[in-house]
Amino acid sequence: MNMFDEIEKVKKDFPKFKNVSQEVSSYSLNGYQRFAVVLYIILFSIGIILGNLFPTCGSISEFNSNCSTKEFNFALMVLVWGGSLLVFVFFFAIGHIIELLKDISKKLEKLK
Amino acid sequence: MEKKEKNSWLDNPSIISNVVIVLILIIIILSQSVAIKSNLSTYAILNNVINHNSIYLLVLIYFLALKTNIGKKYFNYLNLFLIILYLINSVTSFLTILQSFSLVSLFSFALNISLFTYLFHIFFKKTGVWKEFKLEKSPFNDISNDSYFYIIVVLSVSLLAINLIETTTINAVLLVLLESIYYIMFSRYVYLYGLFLNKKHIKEFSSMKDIATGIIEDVKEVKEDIDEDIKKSKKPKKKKASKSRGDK
Repeated sequence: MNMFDEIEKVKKDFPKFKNVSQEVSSYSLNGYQRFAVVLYIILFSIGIILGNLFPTCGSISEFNSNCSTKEFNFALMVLVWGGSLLVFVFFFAIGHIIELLKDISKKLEKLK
Repeated sequence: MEKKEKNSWLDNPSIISNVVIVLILIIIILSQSVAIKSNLSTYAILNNVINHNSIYLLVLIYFLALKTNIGKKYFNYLNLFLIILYLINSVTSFLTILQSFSLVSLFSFALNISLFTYLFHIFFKKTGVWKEFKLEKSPFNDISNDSYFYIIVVLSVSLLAINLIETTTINAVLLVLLESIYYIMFSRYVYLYGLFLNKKHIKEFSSMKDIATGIIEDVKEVKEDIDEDIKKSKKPKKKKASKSRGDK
């Protein structure tokens, strides 16, 4: 059996863009989460800048011991992006936990 | 005489994906071992070789994920990951042109950008995104699957020729050769997926055509039956009319 036939039987399609955008727009961000988004955007651009600031030698020239062609540092950029994603998730999760705690306290006040 | 279709290994996506996996592994291992043998410093190995192999490693993850059931289920999402990867790669190769303009950087940028457009137009076809954003109106959609494949083959072969002029060591020659084979095999995999989608479209169309011809035949039969019934119902009336005239 063809590999693509096997995939075609089980593969999942993308969700509709309208539904996703509606879900995202309905979600309100608190201070921590806004800070996380802004920080992620800043670190994302820093990753591109660092990749450009610290170029590497081209694939062939590195074995010839003369660095004639310089390449954009893709690995460094991906590394910074990975780190920024972790920082983003950390602050975003803190914001989410605070939001949940606020909801709990509101419900407890109503019960009193 | 029934003609049996001879499927070569080049037409089998499973074999092509295995070849790509093996090629990536050889490229990674070879470049690492050559870097160690050529007495490069740890910083140079980290900086140059890992940077060189990072894209291959990410593509390797894609192909290994396709071998699992979860990977098959989320095939579209994996394709999205691959498209984003090649978008970033083409942007970085553009930045490489700005840093050190050469024929190699120019050709690698052309290769990456054409690979990105190829992936975008093949992997998004027949998905929700394709219909929602009306991507069939894109001017790049007019380029056929075969043309995309041959553009990439020509670009990778010309990049190989330029690289071979620059290289001085046998290891570098081997690496450059493997890289160009990888590009051709990878584009072959995308080409086969495009071919599969076209065949599926033709199958759907022919099955619809069969249904339509079936319906037309049924309608014809029903029409013939109705015509016969009308003829039968008209004949006795005529006889009755002639009988009544005779009585008079």
